[in-house]
Amino acid sequence: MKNAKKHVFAVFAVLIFLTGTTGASEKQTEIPSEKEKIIVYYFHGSYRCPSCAKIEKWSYEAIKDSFPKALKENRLLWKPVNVEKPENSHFIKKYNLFTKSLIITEVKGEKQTKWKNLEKVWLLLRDQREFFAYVTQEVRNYLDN
Amino acid sequence: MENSLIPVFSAIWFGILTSISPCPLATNILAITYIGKQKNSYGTLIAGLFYTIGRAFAYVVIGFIIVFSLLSVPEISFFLQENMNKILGPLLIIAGLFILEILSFGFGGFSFRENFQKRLGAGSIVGAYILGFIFALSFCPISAALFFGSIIPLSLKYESRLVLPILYGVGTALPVLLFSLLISCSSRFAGNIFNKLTAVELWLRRITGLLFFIIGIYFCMKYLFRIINF
Repeated sequence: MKNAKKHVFAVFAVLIFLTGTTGASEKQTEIPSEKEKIIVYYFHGSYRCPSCAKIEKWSYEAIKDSFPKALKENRLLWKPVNVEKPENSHFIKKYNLFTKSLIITEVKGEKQTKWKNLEKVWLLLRDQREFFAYVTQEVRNYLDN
Repeated sequence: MENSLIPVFSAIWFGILTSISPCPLATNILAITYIGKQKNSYGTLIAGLFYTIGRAFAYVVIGFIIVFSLLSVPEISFFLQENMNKILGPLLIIAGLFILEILSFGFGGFSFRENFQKRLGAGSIVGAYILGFIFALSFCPISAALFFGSIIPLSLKYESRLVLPILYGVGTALPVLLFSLLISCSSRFAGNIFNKLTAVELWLRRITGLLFFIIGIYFCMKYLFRIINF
């Protein structure tokens, strides 16, 4: 009888444990980071010009330094994309690309809700501080909304 | 008044920014030597003016193509970035060989050939115009970004299909014109001091031809064969 009680208790404990873990994982999938994402794309070609390489480097550094937590939690993603590869060429039409570009997008679930071409990066190539401030502010605007 | 001046200065400034970026450095060097080796500063100014007109005309043409929706911005931008730089390499090599007088035209009489090559070598105004037009069409990422991303939207916003693209062209040519004048003045000065003006002119022509040839090879390796990436 005692043994039976022990077994019931053990099964019950295991069930509670399993329920608990399932609950936790469900809870994790429900946090906004899994649903809403900010993706920063850097679209480039196979040929990397000095200014293009600088934009990519500075943009990533600005994002990495300013939003390490969001990057770690996957709320913010950094994606360099070569649009000369056939599988990526659709991005040209999607974002009306005409040169190497830094694009910030907001994705909710599977749907992209808004995006912006950070065109000013080309004008701020001579001022790293201004460049960092511009990229950081634009990303912050998206993350805060 | 203030509102109308902002796009005007923006267009010129964007042109200057394009010109002083590392991307069009190779073509700017060619333009500077080609324009700068005129016989006098007045000739350099005239050649520089035609180089500027060539550039401005190219931007006006592209502006019209976009405004009248003959091609979309991504289509024309990527087409020019992809193809013009590929064509430019062989063109520059051939031009360099002509300037160095290694190649010559196989038609016309001797006097025509000699005359044409001398004019080409001396940096004729037609040559400067063609150079401006072709170099303007050879878009690199920054010129594409500033022209298609800033000048075209400004032109549409202020309904200025002609003036703003022209001013952008002027802006891209200004630094070239300035350095051409510097080269022209200093080489004349050196030639006069050493009393060897003819020798200086000859060497300037040779240097120009050689630069066309070398930069032509550089363009071929970079854009046509994609061997180098700098």
